Amino acid sequence: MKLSRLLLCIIIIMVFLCTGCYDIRELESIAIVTGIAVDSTQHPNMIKFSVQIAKAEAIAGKGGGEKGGGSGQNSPVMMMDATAYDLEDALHSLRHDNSRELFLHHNQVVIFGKALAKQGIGSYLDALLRGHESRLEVPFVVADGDAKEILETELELEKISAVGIQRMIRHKAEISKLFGTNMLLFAAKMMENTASSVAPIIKVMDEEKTKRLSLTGLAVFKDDKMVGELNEPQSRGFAWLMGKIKASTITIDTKKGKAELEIISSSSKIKPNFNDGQKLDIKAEIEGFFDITELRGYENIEMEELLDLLVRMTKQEIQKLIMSCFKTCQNLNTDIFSFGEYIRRHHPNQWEKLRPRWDDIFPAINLSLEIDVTIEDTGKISLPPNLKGEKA
Amino acid sequence: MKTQKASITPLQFMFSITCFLRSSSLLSSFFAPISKTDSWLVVLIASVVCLPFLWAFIMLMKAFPGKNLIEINDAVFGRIAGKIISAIYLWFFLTLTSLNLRDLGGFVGKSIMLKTPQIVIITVFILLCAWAVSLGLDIVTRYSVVFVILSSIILVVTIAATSNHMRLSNFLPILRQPMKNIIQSTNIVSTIPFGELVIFLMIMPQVNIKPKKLGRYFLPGFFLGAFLITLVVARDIAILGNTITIFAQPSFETLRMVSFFEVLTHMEILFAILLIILFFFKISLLFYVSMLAMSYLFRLDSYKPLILPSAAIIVVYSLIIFKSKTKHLEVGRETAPFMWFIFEFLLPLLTLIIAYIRKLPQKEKDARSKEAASA
Amino acid sequence: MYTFLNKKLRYMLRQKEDEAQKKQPDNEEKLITGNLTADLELIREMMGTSSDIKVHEFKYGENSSQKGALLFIDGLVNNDVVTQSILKPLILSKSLNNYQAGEMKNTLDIVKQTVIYSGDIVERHTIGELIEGCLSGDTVFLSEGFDKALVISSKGWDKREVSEPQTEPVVRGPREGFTENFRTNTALIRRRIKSPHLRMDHLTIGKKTDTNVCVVYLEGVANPDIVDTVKVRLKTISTDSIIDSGYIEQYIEDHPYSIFQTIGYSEKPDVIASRILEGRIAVVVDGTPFVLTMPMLFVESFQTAEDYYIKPYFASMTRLMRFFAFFLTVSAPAIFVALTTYHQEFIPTTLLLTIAAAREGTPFPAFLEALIMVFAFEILREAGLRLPRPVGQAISIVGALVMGEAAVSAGIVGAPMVITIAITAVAGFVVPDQNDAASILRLILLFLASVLGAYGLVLGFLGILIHLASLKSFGVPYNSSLAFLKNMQDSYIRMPLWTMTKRPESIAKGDIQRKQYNTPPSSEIVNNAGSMEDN
Repeated sequence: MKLSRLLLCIIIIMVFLCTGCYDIRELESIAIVTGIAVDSTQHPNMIKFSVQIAKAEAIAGKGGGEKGGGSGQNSPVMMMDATAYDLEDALHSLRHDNSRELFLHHNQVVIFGKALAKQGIGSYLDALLRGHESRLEVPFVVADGDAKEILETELELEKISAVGIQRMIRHKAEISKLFGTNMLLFAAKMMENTASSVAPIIKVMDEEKTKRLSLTGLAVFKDDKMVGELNEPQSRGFAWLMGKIKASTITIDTKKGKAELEIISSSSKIKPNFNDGQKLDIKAEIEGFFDITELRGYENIEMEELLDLLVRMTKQEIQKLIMSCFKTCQNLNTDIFSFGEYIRRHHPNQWEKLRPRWDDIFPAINLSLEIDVTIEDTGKISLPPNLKGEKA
Repeated sequence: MKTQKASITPLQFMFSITCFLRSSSLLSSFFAPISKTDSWLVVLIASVVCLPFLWAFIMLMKAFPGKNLIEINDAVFGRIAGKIISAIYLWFFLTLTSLNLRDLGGFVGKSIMLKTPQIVIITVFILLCAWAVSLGLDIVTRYSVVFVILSSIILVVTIAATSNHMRLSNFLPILRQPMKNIIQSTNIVSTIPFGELVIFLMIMPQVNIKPKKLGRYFLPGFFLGAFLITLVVARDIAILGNTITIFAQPSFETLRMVSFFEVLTHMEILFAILLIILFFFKISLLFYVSMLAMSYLFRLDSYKPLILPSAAIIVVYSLIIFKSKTKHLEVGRETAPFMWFIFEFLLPLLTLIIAYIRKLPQKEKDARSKEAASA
Repeated sequence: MYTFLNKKLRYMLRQKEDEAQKKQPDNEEKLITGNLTADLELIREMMGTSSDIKVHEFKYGENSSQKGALLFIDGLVNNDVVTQSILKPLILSKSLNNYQAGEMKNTLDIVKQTVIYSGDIVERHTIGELIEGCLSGDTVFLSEGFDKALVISSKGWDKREVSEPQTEPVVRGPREGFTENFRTNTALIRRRIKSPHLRMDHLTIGKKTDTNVCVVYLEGVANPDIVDTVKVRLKTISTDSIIDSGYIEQYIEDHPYSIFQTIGYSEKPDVIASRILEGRIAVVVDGTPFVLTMPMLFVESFQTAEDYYIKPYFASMTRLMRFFAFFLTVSAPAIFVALTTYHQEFIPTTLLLTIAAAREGTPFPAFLEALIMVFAFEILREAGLRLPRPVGQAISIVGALVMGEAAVSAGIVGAPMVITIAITAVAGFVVPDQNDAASILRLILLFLASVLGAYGLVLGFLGILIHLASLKSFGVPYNSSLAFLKNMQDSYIRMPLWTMTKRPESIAKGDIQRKQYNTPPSSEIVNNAGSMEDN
């Protein structure tokens, strides 16, 4: 008994020793990729794949500082790129051409160049979803121009620009969830067949000496190809129509004065009307709640009257935003609002009829809006201070 | 037989059933692509569909208290036929063990140990299970309650943490899939995790429980398990929506979305750990049942000498059983549900009917009461 | 083959032992002859010429006609007792005066009954018994012409005062601790449980040391089967020496190969008393302040006396914290190694960059680094423990601060690793009972983590769980209350005392009910007499 036990123990220990640490990967042997940029090249079938790699020592600060001496050249990140026929290819060539193993798990952002986005990004997306190392919640953006250039732009506040871009998108998404997209959401939209996706557009702003990054509007995709853009007001209209806007302001400019209203919350309800399956009318009930944050002008006006005016103007403003966005999309024939998906989910029977002709139906949808605006709070003061005297 | 002595408490028995079912939640990749966003309903439907069969299990357990499946087969079908059926069951148990081991190997290989060869992952794991099995049933089932509570806590926490990614509209439209898909999916769910409860017929004699009260522990355990699976599937659908169909491990992808305070973001390792633990429970239990069946079939005093050789067989079996992961998925979706149906539902029903015709339980009871009287 | 040889070998050894035993008992069995000089000679021959053995020959009785001798061991006896209560009355007593030399037959009885001031006098007939009494601190009185002797209790060696135990200090609760003195210890227990059912069954173990051992339990509460098991196991101990209760523990535990302790111990009488009241059996061993209790549950290591003296909320919180600390101390280095060498994807990005920066340029792989640090810590701990206290502190400062800091700034080890080891070390002291086991488990898990990453770590934990489940302490499953089998009200959390109506069912048997109802104390309960008056 004892001997056999001893033997068993030895065998088990041997088994563990033979496991061989296949997956071992010491920290100093990996290159932590923080950003990925994919661009098209001159050659129609080739892409330029660039990665941003964080240099840990330089980021942690003191280590790099001491060793660097005074040579100002220790940038916290480095860029690498490769040109290849597809993503996997490019990754492989980068892997084999490097003293360290590329480590993609901590990738913060994926940037596609505008030109490539127009050619279609489906196959690259598939590679990114399929690979074990990529993460679904990674935001992705379309560069207004060259994607690599975006990654190379240094940010003032962030050591790693990819982290900064990710934070910018997250910050922007506080206004509306729709302003940020990630791999999962994008893929989910693509799988809806009729729906079109949007992705934020990022742009380098040249300002005198420094470069700055800015998110300007949304890129609109039809299937996996970028077909158009929504500018900033239009994207707000998009958010209004979906009822997913908050933490942003709306400016009312009239002859009597100027008002700044903060959006507290919003909601929307969509009511499709099927006219015997020939034409589709959609009625959207939109509700918005506001706080007044700033009033300028508006002299000799009663409070009720002022509120009335503001509500009316706000409605107009929202209407304008939404319609501008909706028209653009109808022209592009891109259902970014997932109207089709909404009908599929809630009116599956009608959907069967509409589906084959959706591409014809969508541009002809008659959208009617019913906007309800409530001003909840006027802040700590009611009327602007310059009116106070007259009133009293 | 010596190996029968160990006894488990009713509570452990109940939670063993729950834990056994819960550990099958990885199998959602078998049926999710078929029934898509209705998968959560499919689990509920399957749990109702299974009830008559579970009733058959319970009736068998009640009719032959103190006897396990092999002994019941002997008693009902006679010596030779019984032995043959038992031998087929033994093959079934061994296959289940191997399949689950393979699932585990595949999962670990896909999620946390990418470059480690399957054989290493599997061998190390089966050695651990063998150790637990050699120590007896109560060691295997000891932690069922802990595991269930642990997995439930993780489930609740992940639901809370991913709630901002959830879209309830992902569930819509309800039941618009073709009927065929729903039925196929229901079949998969009811045979693969639910029907496997047939193994509990093997360990019945070691449960410290009065036959009358069996249902009172069996069914709540079953419903709790089914409920947990439903929750898991529903969570995955609410988050992934229709993309659930394209992922090999929906839960793993779901947990990738978890983030606490934007710092603790990569929570899928929790899921991996939990799943390994649950797999440990399931494989050990299946392994134990196989060993018990083997020792009864060959009339051995103890199954202990069989453990290591069987472990070796199981490892090899699970490595060669399918050529590839795609083949595995295909069989899991198309062949297994029908094969398993025989072992899990038809044979027990048949046993029950024959036993009823031969009025076997009655005789058994008489004999027992006589024994009791003479004692 | 091997088994057979082993058995054969053991059998041969046993035979030899038996033979040796047969030869021994010649002198011990010898009776007292009555010839004082001869008897004393025999005793001297047996005990040698040790300087601490005092033989005082004197004369007493009428006209000092009778020859007598006192035999005792200097240092073991209370000199006051010997001179004032034995020698002085013997020499001065008048009650012996009335007897003639010829009527001296019952002198010894008279001495016993009327002369010596002592409550504990026994008559002995063999030399062996005299020596035994003498060695345990009694005084032997031999008298010319009698074939028996008196053994008078006069124990009184220097002993440590009852003081606060070093190992289990409390903020709130009794500060008494056991001492090395056997009787003091049993008395400390007896003082807390004033029940006639408290049993103290006495045994002596060890052929050479003859150590007093006492099995203490509450009859009707302790499971009689377990009591018998304990006694049988104690009786089968065949060794020549028992120096500390640790010896006993190792001779009677269920799983000698396990790294976990399956027998509890404590230095505090209140802890022992409460365990006895739960139905456990205590074993008090002479010469050590550590009293053993059995059966032991794993959860006992996480309970402290103070848990029960403070309110349940904080007690529960600290209880959970202790579990977490145990988890940390066992697995922190392993988790660190697994995460940094296998699963970097699970480390938050910013943290990963920090760790990577610290690892940059360190020469050893993470596993080796962890191993070095773990061993360095164990060495420091051992050094701090063994050295005299003031020096020990200096060592820890040099070791922890100077060496750690120097190693980090020289780039030999990374700072995150030092932090991990520091957490491990501190967390280890939270559960002192399992510290030894934790040190070994830590190494095993570290090894597994370095070989198989998180997978190995999970398997390691499962292995520990299996091992824990297989352990039994005197028939009681070791981890029963952790696996939700029984007695959950006092395991992960401590429920209020008033809810604990029953003693732990897995341990106690018989009088299981502690109190009748689990009603909380209520503000409704007031002095009834007062309210009556109001009415």
